[in-house]
Amino acid sequence: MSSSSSSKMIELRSSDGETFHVEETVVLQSETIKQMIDDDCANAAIPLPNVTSMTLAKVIEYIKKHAEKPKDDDDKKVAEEDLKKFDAEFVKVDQESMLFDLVRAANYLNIKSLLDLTCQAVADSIKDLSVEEVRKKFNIQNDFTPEEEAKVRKENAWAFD
Amino acid sequence: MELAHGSRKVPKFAPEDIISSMPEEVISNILGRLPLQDAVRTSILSSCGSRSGLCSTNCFDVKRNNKVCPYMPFDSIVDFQDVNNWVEYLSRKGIKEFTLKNMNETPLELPSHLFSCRELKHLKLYNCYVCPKSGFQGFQSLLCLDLSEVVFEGYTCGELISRCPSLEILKLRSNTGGKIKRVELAKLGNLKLSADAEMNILTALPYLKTLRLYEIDFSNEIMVSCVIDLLRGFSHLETLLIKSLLACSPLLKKMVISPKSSEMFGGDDGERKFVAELMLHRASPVAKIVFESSYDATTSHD
Repeated sequence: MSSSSSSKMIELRSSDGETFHVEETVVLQSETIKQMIDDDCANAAIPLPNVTSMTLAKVIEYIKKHAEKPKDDDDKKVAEEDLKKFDAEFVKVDQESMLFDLVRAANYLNIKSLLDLTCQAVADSIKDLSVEEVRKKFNIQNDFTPEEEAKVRKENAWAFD
Repeated sequence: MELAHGSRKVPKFAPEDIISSMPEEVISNILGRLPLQDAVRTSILSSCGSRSGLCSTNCFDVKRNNKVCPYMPFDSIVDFQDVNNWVEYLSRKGIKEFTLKNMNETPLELPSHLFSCRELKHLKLYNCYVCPKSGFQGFQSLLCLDLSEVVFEGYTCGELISRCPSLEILKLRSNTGGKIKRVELAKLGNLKLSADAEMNILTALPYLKTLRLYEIDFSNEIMVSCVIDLLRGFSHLETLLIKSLLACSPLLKKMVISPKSSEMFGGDDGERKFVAELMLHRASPVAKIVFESSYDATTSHD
């Protein structure tokens, strides 16, 4: 893997001040950063005030993996399978908050495939949960009065059967 | 389990509400991947959730096995009553875009609540039948109407179009199967009839930019004159796509195209490609395509 050694490196700085060096070709998967590079704003380290170093490391792991180019068609099939496995493992995070952080980061950095992947993972994780369980998961304060809640339930009774 | 009902006051030390801190497009991305009932249930999570139009997911795909899917396929099987419920729910959210793609054999009746969606900008229907409830005022904001295998009941396509004064893009596709009556001809006929009668369709659509007509039968005089009348009325028209023009005209001998400038086809080479494309689809073996232009000597392509 020496082919990309000449690629320009881009410096990213996380919210907690850690810097990461990533090849330009890899980091271009982020539309947000691509825009910055196009606008010539990427000469110094790019500050990412919304992304912690822990989240950024994960994001970089993802875009690096997704930047790998298969050598030939045979290799392509293997690589696709490999990528599917990688994606499946990637969203199995220990801490649930990490998944939400990744959703936010993917949205902020505008990396569509990562956003789709993480949003799907969140959706999968709340499917089949009760309303109470979802509230708990998202730290949502139930601010409905019993009357209001009954009204919403009645309006959409079919969904609560 | 007893549901806990909090007061409007949120404790200061409460952990961050993840939903509220997420951008709205992310929320609808997630909800769009949920089964219908789960997505609707989220409206009860908190007043914020139900107010802010969280569930703005509005793209349907009623698949062969009666699945409705916002954006993506999912596992829960729902029936048409669910579609009605869902649309009723959406109609309260002020949706702007609605697609109903019914892959079942039988056309699906368009849920009547859709006709209350005044803010609708894009409407795309596939294999449905449309019968607006009485007193339907039209879609004042509708910009794009895309109908495919749509049957009208007690109402004509022309009437519908005439009630969409902002329409910019109109796509009418016909079905080719024999099961549902060929709505295309009827639709075009109605368009013309309505135009001649009390509703002036032609001036009703001053902003139309794109018109796509499929499977026009050019051996049918009424249809042709109707199409020509239509085109005259659209002064802002930029794109006209007549897909099966040559493919449906086996007796055609000559077709004359008079473009305003060669740029219409993207330069000289574009014109050649355009003709090659046209020739490929012709039904008549003798059809000639002739370019007449003010910018260049007449060129003929056999």
